[in-house]
Amino acid sequence: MINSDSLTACPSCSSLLRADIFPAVFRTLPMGQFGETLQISNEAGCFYHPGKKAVTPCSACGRFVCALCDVALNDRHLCPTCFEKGKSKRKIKSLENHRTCYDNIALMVATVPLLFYFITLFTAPLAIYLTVRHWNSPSGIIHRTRIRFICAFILAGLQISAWILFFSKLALST
Amino acid sequence: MTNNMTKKEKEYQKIRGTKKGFLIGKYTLWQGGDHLLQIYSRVGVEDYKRFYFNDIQAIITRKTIAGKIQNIVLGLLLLLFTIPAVLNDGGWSAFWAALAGVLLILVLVNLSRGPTCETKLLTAVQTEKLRSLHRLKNAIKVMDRLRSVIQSVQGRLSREDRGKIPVRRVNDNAVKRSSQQADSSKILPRHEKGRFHLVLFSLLVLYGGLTFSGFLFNHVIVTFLSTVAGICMGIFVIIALVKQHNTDLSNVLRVITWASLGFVSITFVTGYGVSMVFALKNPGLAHNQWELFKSISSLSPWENPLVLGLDIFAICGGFILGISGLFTLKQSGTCPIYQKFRLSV
Repeated sequence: MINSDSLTACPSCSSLLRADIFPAVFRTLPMGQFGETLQISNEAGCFYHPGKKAVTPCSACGRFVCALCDVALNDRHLCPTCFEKGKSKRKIKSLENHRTCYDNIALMVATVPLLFYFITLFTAPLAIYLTVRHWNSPSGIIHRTRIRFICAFILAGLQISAWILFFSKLALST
Repeated sequence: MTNNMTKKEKEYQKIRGTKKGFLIGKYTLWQGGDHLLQIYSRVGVEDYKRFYFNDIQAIITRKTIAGKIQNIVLGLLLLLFTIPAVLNDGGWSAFWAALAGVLLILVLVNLSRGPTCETKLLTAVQTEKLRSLHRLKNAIKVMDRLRSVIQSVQGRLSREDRGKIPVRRVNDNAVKRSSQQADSSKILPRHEKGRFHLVLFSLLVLYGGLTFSGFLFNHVIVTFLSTVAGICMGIFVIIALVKQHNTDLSNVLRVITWASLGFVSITFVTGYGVSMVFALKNPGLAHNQWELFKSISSLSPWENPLVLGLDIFAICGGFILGISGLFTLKQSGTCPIYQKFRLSV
């Protein structure tokens, strides 16, 4: 049943299933590490815990860190401060778990209000503002073009032109 | 510059399969250099989950009956809308035929997409559902592809090792603790007897029966009873949904309860729609609720095609959901009445 190419019946519940199992199943969870106390005064100490022995420098700032402070991430070793900064300032892409896609929002603001056309008087400038303000903001983690921004800009521009035309005709008639 | 662009574009490769959320949003799966990326995107916001190839312990796909249930429900609805389309003529016939046509397309699309499945990915600290892999055809192809990628990172599992695969027990403290840390919502399910489900399914059957009696005779008491049953159904379906959260009730029972919510919602909306249309057509009755109620109760399904369609829907929905719910409750052995009976035997 394990690692077969087709579905087989589970001996316990008879459900048809396919199970692909990999060697990681035998790997035990690594134990948490404690910093080793400095024995000799000429050994390098941790920047954050001066009494602990340094094991590696931080890949970002170069500070020496002990085993407790060492954060291993994608073959890099970071200190807690750089790790936190990387997460909050979005410098480490692999730590990002949430993004706002302004191109989608701009396109939505430019299209959905068309159902209630009178709202476009307010939403069209908003769509243009979003496009201009966030043209260079990072979009989704998957690379994509700026086609949504372009579409939103064109649609909002058309809506604004239509309103200008409407008001100018209204002004002329009165 | 061009090389950089190409590299950026190829950072993630789309893995086939998409799962739409309940109302908004969709789940997609992407293959990166050293990890899988699951994206849940909804209105302008994306959430990411990464599973590194080196950490993946297993990927398990289980065939489910959700696709079959969808086909049966859609098929029944198709039949339901085809009957009034054949029985009526003129505009109403075209209306029901259009609805039946839409349902026919949905059935064909569902059939062409093949059977459904549930795919789960296991690491040392989490069990995550890969929602985009919910069709068996896709899931098998993706698993073939991922197996070779993960094996190139971790190596192959030898024949001797296959016999030594550790069994995860619920009482395994390490696993329990780590899984609780990873996802606090995945705590041990509590036992639920399903009393509220029993009442809900009984009410559904009663509602179907009362609606059926409308074909034989019209009386204000019958309409009153079916209104009370409908309100009670609305209350009990919400209580049942709250009660079934994080319990050991079977998935089929949960699906039936969710379907009951859909049925009750449709019944409420259409009932409200019919009464509004009736009140607009008879403005003299609009200010007298009792007279309006009596007039609605005197409506015969044989005379009004809209009422006929809605009644057929109510009968089919009430009986199908109610009987299948009671049957599933009995089969799962959680039904309080069934347990009492079994104990007495």
